[in-house]
Amino acid sequence: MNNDKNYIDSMTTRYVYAATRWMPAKQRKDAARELESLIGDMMEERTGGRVAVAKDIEMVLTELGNPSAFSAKANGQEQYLIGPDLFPKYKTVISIVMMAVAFGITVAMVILMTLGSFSGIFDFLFSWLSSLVSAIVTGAAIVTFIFALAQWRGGALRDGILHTPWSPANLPPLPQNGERIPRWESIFGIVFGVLAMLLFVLFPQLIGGFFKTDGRYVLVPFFNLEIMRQMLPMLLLMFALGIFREFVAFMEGRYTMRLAIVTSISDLISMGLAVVVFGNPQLYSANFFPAVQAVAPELSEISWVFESFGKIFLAVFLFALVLDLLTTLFKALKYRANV
Amino acid sequence: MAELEELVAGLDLELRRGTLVLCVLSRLTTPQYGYSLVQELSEKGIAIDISTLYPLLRRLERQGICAAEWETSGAKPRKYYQLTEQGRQVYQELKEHWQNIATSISALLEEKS
Repeated sequence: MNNDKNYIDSMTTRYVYAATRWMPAKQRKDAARELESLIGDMMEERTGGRVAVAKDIEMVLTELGNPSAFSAKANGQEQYLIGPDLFPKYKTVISIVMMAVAFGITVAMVILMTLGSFSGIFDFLFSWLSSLVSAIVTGAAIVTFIFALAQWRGGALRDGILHTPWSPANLPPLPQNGERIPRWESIFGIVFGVLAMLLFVLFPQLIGGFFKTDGRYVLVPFFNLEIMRQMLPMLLLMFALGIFREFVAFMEGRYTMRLAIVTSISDLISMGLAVVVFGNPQLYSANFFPAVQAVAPELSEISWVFESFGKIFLAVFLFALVLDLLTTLFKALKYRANV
Repeated sequence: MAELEELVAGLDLELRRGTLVLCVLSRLTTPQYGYSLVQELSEKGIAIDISTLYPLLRRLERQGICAAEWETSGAKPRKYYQLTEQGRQVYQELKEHWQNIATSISALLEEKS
């Protein structure tokens, strides 16, 4: 008899604990007390005055159902990590990101393999798989985090993704030929950005030229690797901005003022960073041009190109950014007139 | 056949889900505790899972539609719920909406299309 009472008490406590464990701390104590009182009521109803036995508590708890279901619903059906309105976009974005990352990693690994960086096929497969898994998980986590943040905080981020507040007037017009940004273009941009990041982080020594000396081809790096390493954070920020810009282009699907603003900001910051990074004469390896001259002495006549190579490189880079900024801005303004 | 039943059961659940709030509100004009609500509703033909009712009560409390108070003078401590003033207004309005919906739907269902 005493055993039954102990069993009933212990089962009640265990059920209440399981059911309230995942509730917000504020509600937990109150909900636990209420649930205990409910179980007491149900036991009374069931026994109708006779002494309760072990079987009774089992029947009552079975009737109450799975405690995890109890506490899951207790949080309210409206609580989502990513709600139904955000989900379709989330699904598209996360699949694109995962594909782009998988593609980037695979390309990088194949390049590495052709350069003989792996000791064998198993080494290659293992490295490829482990990089693939960690990169995909990271990519998926970042996308999920952004969407979950939009769901949780709401506000501008959520409105931006959903294009709200909505009225018929801001239904996007069907994109005209020149106005539409093809998906592959943005995806290519993202993949290219990821590849460039990988290249600069993992193998900056590969950016250079092959020169034949003593009958052997030697790879002479173009950049001073020591300085390059110091500049890496700024370079990465530059690529990240570029990827972000492509991502916005992908989401917008056409040239909009929003895209133009994002592009302008990202390009202007990139220009500043480029001046600091590529404008630094120490960034370029002192060994590269002597190596060129050694194989092709006739090039000495245009040695000015080599001497100011950093400046030329920077100028081309800046020109590309200015061009990108102006075209995006121009197209956004042009097509806005059509709305 | 089983498939049809499953389909109907799913839609039936959806149909009832939204009406539960109104059923619960209708009982809260006088103080009630959770289990007494379940019993009273089921006596009147409205089946409600306990694991649905308690979260619903907590939500109504959070929304200020009902207020809860612990009654500790009895044999067992119990949490009693009752409509607040705002809750009464909400209930009155919902009741009217429901009556309009019921009239319209009945008309639809009786009319031959």
